[in-house]
Amino acid sequence: MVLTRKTAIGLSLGLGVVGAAALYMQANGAAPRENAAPQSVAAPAITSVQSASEAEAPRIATAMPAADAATPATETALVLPSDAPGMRPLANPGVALPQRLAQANPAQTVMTDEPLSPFGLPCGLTVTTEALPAAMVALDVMDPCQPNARVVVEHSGLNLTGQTDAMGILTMDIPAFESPAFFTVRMPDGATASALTGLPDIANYTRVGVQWQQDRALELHAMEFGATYGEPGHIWRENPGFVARAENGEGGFMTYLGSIAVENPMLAEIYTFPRDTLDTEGTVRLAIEAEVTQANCGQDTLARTLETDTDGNVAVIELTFTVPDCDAIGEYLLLQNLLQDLRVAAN
Amino acid sequence: MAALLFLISGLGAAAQDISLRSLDGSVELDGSLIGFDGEFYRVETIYGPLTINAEGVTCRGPGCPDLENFVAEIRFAGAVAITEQLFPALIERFAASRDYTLRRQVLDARRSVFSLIRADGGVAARFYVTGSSTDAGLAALLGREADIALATRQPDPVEAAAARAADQGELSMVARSRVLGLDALVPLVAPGNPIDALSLEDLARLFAGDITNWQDLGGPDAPIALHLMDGATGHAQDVAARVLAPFDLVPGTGIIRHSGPAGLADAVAQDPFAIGIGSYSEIGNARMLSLRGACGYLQRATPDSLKAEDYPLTAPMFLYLPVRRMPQLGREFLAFFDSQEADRVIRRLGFVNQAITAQPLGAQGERLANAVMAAGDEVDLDDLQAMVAAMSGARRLSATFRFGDDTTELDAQSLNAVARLARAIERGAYDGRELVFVGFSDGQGRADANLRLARGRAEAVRLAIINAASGGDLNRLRLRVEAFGEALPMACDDTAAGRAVNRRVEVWLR
Repeated sequence: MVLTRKTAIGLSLGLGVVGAAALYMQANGAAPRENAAPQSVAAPAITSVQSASEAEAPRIATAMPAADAATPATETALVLPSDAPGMRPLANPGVALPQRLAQANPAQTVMTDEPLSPFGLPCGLTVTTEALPAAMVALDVMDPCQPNARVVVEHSGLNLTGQTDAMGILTMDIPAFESPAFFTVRMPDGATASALTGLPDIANYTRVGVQWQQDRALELHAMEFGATYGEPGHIWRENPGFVARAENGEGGFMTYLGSIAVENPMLAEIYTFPRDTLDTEGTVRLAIEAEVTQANCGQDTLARTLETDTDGNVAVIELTFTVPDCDAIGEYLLLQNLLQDLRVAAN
Repeated sequence: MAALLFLISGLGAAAQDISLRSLDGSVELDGSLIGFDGEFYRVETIYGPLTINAEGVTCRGPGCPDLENFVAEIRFAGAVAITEQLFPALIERFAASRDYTLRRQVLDARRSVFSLIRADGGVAARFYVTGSSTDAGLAALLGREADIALATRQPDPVEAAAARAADQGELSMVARSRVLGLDALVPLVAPGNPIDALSLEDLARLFAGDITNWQDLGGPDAPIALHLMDGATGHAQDVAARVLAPFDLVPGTGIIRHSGPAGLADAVAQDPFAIGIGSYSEIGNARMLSLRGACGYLQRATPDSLKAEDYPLTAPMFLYLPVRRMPQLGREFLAFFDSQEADRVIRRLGFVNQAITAQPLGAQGERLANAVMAAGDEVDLDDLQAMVAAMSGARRLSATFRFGDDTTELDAQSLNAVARLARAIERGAYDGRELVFVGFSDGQGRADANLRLARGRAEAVRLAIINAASGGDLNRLRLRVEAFGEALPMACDDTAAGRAVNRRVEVWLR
């Protein structure tokens, strides 16, 4: 990865096709902010466990989870439509978060006749979230009877795949786009659980993310205050910065999210930048790049951009484009102006 | 349904691809469909093109559009400065405000299709956005390859003539254009460059190639690297017309050209010996210089000075609309540009919106200092005292009205300001208050003549506002006229740009 890598090439044309995957979701992510709940600051977050398919199905909630867990093999087929390749809208998107949580929580106490995992832990999905510095969220997922399983995490239009370990545990530190930050976790057996965390410092940070599916190897690059490739202010996967930079108002940091080891992976890179910097004024330029590889050349690509603004909105845009043909393997596709540059005004 | 009163009888419907019949069956009209905007059919008939409301008729024939699944399609083309970041952001906010999901299909580096998708998954509209140049956008509008042109300058006489020739009407008409937001031409240098301000004349001579070394401007002995936008951009044409032409100069050779304002700002920021004329909205990591008049006044591009056009190189961004009717969602999108939500997007992206703001006049000490400096033979102490008395306790609205040379015709930005101020009055924003329209002139000619001219213009603006605010109750506020002629100059009278800044009607709120 040296400087000669910057052979930017134009996009080939590819009308239609990609859009057919029919992604759709609420443009604004979660609920309107005005009626958001009082934030439960850094408290162990509210957790709700919901069984089976959808929030509006309390009638089956009491019976289903145990059966699901016991027969994971047969459940796989059922699950695919829910998480591949699109993202479902949040249940009852128009309803405020607290109400949605209440509605989505009919099965809090379903652990009656629970079977145990090989490690002796009771089966069933638990999800907890906790606020971390720089408006990050520690997400802990545990489902002892679903080890090495594909997990889908949804938050404000961001959709990620993770994988549980041999114990059925997954932990992720995720930069949040909204507060209260609402997370939904979907397991292959159809079990879903949601958790909510308040992030008192979210207004201190600007967030920009790009999310993609499959192995498209997208990269998010931030050029802070005129930095060029390879300089310290060039923040990207190989020079991601660190959280303290943003906390101290020095610059931003990059977070790579998602597991590529699962089927239909959904991955993301998120750049966090402090709204109040120490004394620098100027612009951070943002670009999305992709190396043209054997795996992605000539392919239609589905991605999504997420950007916060000072009003607390999350702008989500579905993105489709075609990676250049395979004779361009090794070159880089440079997608400029899909993300808004960040402007830092003088004090 | 007036169109259907043309009763048709005994016409063979061969070669006619649609047939519209009124709901009671009494009237039928055949023709070939020109277009459908989701609300109205436009049909070529033996009577010529007719527009018919779809609600009152049923359509039969192979040419009938799909009413249920109508997709509004609008093609936008023009200046990269608008299409790069501002326009996508406006589309995103518009889509979010209507609960549409937004999907962007990237066709190539400068072309995207934005699809607004309803909750049921159906497509409500497709906006095709092509970033080229103001030239190309206006040409595409005339050639009907685009529905709306995005421009960083107004059409020149040749383009206006071409529009009339292409049966595309009068581009200068207010109804045909919108001011989307405000930008400005600004001199940019690298952060380490010691220069703080330049005169317009020095700027012109720099880009004409007359000044080639920083030493000539009091800097180090180093050659100057010049940066401008591509010659085909409205921005570069604006520079030639407003910076160089007033001094009878043309751009010299060896200027480094850029296709976008961001690239220009980045290049300048990296070269301590560079100077460029870029955009206020895209200063990037470069440093903006103020303009210095020969008489000493400094003018700096700020949100306030752009809104009030006090900065001489203010450059509004324009939309030019087609003469034909737009689909409903397209009309709603245009109406969205006047919303507070759009104003916030415009501000966030570094442009200046046209929301009316009020500045305390007391905070404008510099203007008063200018007035004292300029006082003398023709403006005496009594004049100054009268003006200071009138200013005390008042606030100046950002809406300011400016006129062309020797005309009473308002410029494009001022026309927009009339509409904005009128709507604010209709909303009752100034109920119980007094708006004073205060006329000022440049210092050319006799002071008493200038005073009369200034008063006449202030009265003209007051009448324009009264006409435009016909939906409001004008008894709830007072609209008064005052004039101080050349007593409060804001720029030097030695250049045309400076005189244009001085010739103005301000609005003071009490």
